[in-house]
Amino acid sequence: MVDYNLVDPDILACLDKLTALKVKTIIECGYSQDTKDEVLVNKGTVEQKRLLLTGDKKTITKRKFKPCEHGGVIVIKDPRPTADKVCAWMKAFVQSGQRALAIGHFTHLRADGATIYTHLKDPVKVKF
Amino acid sequence: MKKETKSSIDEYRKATYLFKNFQLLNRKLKERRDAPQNVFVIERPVNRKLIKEQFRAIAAKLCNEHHEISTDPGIFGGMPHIRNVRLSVGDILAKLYVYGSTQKIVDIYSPHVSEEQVKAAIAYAQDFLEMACDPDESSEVDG
Repeated sequence: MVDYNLVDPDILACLDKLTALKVKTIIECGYSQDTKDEVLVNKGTVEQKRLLLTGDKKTITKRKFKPCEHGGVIVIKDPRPTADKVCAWMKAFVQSGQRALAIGHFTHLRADGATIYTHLKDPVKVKF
Repeated sequence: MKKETKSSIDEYRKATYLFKNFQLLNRKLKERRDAPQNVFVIERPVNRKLIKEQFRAIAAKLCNEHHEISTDPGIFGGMPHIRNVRLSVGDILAKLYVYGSTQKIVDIYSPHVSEEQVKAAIAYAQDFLEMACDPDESSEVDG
């Protein structure tokens, strides 16, 4: 489930090729374009059984939305995410072998790797 | 009797010596304290919470002038965004940086976002910067 701030035809087309599952935007999942963060993360991810991919790195945080209390969130940690960047990072993450760990957890995606915050004290770090 | 006098004189000398040393040490410490090149000024920690509150107050105030922009604590934790759309002013600027034109943003986000809203977001950002970084009146130079 792609958040409204990352909706871009290039990103959606690229992500569709990565996985067998059809990538949907929040609007395609039945949520309006002004849905609140809490509804999207706590309700949306659980109801839709999908991960939320967002570019909102300031307010959708692991402190506010603790791991294991939602369906899973992936935050693109870049101030100006482009389609190329998002696709390359997501591809690297999918191919890293740790993508299943993102379910129910909080993942920060960067150029050099991903950090997955689980219920455990130490986060899982994946290097690309 | 002589011995006692001698010892008392020694004690006096010793005390004077120590006192002089103490004075010298004090003077050196004072010099070191006053010397600007050796002093590391430790500034009082900035109250970030207070600064954030001030910025939020400016953001809320500007929403009265820009009706296309609003701040809702439920969306982006109160960051200014396009009214009824999950697109913050920062997102609009980032997309403008990436795509290079407002028309491309409108093409991607239509019908939820209009060109007026995109332009309002840019104007809001400009007004916010000008208001937040406005120098004090005292620092303004007349003429």
